[in-house]
Amino acid sequence: MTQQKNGGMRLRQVPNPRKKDTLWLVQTLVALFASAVLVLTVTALTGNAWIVMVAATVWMGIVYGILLKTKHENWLYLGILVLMLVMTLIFRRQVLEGFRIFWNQASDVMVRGTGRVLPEWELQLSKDQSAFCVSLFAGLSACFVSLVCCALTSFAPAVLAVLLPGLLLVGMTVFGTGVGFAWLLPVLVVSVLILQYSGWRKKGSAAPVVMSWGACGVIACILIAIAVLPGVQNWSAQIRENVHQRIHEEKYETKYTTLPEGDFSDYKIVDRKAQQALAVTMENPQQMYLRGFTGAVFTGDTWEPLDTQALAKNKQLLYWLNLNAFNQNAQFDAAAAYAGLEQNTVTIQNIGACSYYRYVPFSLGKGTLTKPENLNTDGVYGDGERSYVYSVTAGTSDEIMQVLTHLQTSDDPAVLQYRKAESGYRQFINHYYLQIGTEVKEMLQEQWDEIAAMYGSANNLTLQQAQECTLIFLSRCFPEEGTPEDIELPLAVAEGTTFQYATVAAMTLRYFGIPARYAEGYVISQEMAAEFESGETMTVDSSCAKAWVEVYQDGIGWIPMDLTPGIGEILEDPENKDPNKNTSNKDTTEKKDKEEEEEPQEEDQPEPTGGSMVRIILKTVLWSLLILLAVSLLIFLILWIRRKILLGRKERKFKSENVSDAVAWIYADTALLLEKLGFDRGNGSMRDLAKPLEEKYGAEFAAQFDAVSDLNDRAMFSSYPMEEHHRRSALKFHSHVLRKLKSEVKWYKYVWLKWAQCLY
Amino acid sequence: MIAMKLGLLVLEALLLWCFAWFGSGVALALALLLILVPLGTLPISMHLRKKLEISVEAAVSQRKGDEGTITVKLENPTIFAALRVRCDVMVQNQLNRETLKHQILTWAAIRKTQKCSLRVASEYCGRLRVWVPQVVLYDCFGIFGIRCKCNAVTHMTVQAETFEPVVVLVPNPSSTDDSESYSQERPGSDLTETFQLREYVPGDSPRQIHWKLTNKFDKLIVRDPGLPISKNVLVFWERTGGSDDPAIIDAQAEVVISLCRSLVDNGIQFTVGWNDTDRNLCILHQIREMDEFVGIIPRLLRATGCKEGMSGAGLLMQTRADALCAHMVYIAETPQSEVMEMQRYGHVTMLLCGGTALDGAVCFNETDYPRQLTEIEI
Repeated sequence: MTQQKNGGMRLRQVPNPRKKDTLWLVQTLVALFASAVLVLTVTALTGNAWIVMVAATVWMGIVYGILLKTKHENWLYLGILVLMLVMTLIFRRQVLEGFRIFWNQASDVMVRGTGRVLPEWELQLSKDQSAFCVSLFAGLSACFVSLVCCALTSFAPAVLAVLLPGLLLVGMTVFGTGVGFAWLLPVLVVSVLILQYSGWRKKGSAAPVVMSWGACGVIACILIAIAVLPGVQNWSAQIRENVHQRIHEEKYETKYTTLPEGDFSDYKIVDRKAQQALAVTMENPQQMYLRGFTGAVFTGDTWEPLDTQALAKNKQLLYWLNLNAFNQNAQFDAAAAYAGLEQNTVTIQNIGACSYYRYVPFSLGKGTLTKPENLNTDGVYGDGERSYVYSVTAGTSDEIMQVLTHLQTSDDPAVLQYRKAESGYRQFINHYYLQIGTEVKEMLQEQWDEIAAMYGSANNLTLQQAQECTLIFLSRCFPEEGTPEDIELPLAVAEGTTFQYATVAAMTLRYFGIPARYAEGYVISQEMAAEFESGETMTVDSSCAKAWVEVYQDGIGWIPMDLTPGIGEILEDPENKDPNKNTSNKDTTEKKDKEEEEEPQEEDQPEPTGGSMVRIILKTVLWSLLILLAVSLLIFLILWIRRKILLGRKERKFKSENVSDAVAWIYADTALLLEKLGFDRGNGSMRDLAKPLEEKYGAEFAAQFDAVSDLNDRAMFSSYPMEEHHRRSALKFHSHVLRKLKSEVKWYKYVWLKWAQCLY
Repeated sequence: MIAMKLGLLVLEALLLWCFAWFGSGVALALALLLILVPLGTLPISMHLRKKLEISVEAAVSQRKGDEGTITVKLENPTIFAALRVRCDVMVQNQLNRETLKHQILTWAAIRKTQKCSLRVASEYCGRLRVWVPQVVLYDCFGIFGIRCKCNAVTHMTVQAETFEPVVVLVPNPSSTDDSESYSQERPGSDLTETFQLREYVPGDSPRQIHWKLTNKFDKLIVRDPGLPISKNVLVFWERTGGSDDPAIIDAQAEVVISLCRSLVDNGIQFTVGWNDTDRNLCILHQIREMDEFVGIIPRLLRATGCKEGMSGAGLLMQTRADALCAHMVYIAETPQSEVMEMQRYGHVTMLLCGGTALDGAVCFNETDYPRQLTEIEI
């Protein structure tokens, strides 16, 4: 019931006494829906105390409904707040403990979603009190959430309608979990319902709201039925894929980005001109495998990193390792520290490569790029960063051997401690990095077993035997000389590329019991590194883009296979071993060189640092301007058409065959123009304007006005027909007034009168 | 409504984002719903705007300070329901120009009449004009509004609270109280003047029969006697030059009405008048009996004032000098200069409210006028 007041007058709306006030029921339902979806989403995330939370919500809903019905709604807020305060004060230790448990559960959810750990609270009460603490905190939280929902339902339902999905999306983004998505749709539906209820607050009648819900419900059901048809679902999924890909491309990639990032679903081998990808400055130039994307799980045609669920399962181990022993992405550095190897500084400028990852070697030093809260073992994510510096430990084969030997022989308690920690991590690696997809297994198991039969069974191979078996199989598939055996290999779309080689190698190593993973990035060869001096910036172009397999070397972590002790000496790049492939590669390289010589370098200048982001911003601004321009043009077009129609209509009236009608119309339009000039007659006679007109424009103008008024009187009330010269007289005065209007009004009013009001 | 539109916009954006990011067909369906429903409602609203009949009703009169009911009716003769209708209701006190606006959100069920009630109260007397300047039909989300033509208007009179001043008619030696003119509109009882001649109808007094003409036309002709118009007393309310203070306007109106009522009660015929500042007219009414007086109260209570412009006294002198009487009561806040000229025609009693005191004028204020004006000599 709103009330307006002005001086001695007041006006208020009252509910119709004959109608029953039923809106309280709708209002209660809205508040209950809103609270329920929020609370259920929280329980879905934390998976605990849902009965308590739901019960508290329902209880609040009932109380809210009763107080609404009895029109004592304001008591609710005060009463519940006081009650909650008293409860919190009495059970403060238990409430705090409940909060800690909830927080820790939220931390688990976050690891499952993002692979990142929230700092956890140490629980202070005994475990047998946990259930009570959680229930108490859950109940109070649910009451508070419901209270806020009730208040918003009462005072700002539109805000609640936006807040509900907004909160959920923020939660989903922060926790990186898809659990919330299942609740997102009910939340959105509830938001739509709340929006329809919005505006009806305290109007008394529930009928229009219920009718709106009913009508929209029917339409929504039809639309949802269409939306769940398989064809529409496929189309939606396709759109999702395209959107994700497009956003990834716009945000992280440039047109020179070449690496597939483990996704071979629509991979095509294209001969591209070498384009600058990275600018690397090393303190001590050396061979380096700069990995970006790293794959742990292979599914048909896609490599994916180890999923966050697996990380969440091993959260305690991984977080402990990061804090107390070594960071998983800088394990070699931790091991090398015991051997006393020196560190060098590497500066990377990402020019044309995907900036979602940071390109780091296996010998990455522990520093700014690694954080203990981040449990992701596969790759170091850059999230658009295009310039970064890190330290690396020298990582040649000799140095790897030196570190390994030191670790195996040293009696230093720190080394022993490290080895103990590493053995725990090794178990994690052995669990997740020895898995082979059934499709690949079915494809290659026969060949693998055939080779392993030379040493017995594949399950009982020594490390050396496993390495030998792997090399034999790879030499059959990718022989140094001659043609490869007719073996069906996975990733046929990338046949003959390093991507296929790395995939096959990783699967083979895993089958023979050596943990391995797939890595993509840029390789700086020894020859290339030898051409540069310390501090000199070397250009790494797309010809260096490759995939390779990384092997988990006990003690020192993930290292490229050709650097692995025992394998590195005899293994060379398969692309160089295959004479046919070698020729073709050679040809391609020659072709590339020729093209580079032919085409001036200026045309292919790489984009500057951060160019991708600048491009996105520019593109956004450009698109915004274009849309703005298009909308402006559209509005202008609509206004122009409207003006043409209205003026045409007016002109037809002015030229009406019945002169009396025409004169009356002209006079009416003249009156409107005079009103815009500031001569508003209000409810009085037009003739009252004669005096002010005389004062402002002189006696002649006033006389003309009187004459035209007389004409109008005649046109309106006389049965005598009027003649053409009467129309001309009226039009003459009309145009006279119009000229005055155009000359006197301000420019913005001129535009308004012309385009919005279409007066001329 | 703006919050709702913004909310819908944000929700639409969220739904489209959910569709694009999660590939959710249901989100797309809901996003389409938010667009299709308002668009689909447009033709219905276009149809309804021509068919919906809006009227407004109000109590004829009410006491000061009491609440009177205004009922806005929406009659929907169609088979479509208007699920969200916004009616702007305006109320203006035409005496002091106080204006209030109230927005009603309602709906119009299929083939039914929807009534919305408002309560209005005014501390000051005056004629309240109640009208519905705008009715907008919205879709159920309140996005697109279609304006509906509406001419609904009604009036309500907030009656003045009268007191009973003792009116003493002081004889004026410079003027005669005898009437020299007769009413052209109604018969009286002065047999010396004929109002009209007509045929006899049953019920006429035989004394009215004009025997000479009866004989001449060979049918009964009756003569109606004339009604002498007394021009003894003029009560004139000056509406120019006053302030906007509604309390002062209210006090003046109550003084005018109380004075007139006392005159009627004393059986004095008089003329009551005021100046219409909108049209620059002088409005005069002859009052002979209570019914006539009651009839003009609503008109009196919409006599809008203005600060500047031609004075009522001036207008009276210029246009209706014939209405000037031997006894004149001039009620104003600030007396206009022309009132001095009026004094040449008869005795002018000035009742001034809240303005500057003047020699010979009776001053009163807006709070204590019943006590200050217990006896008025005119």
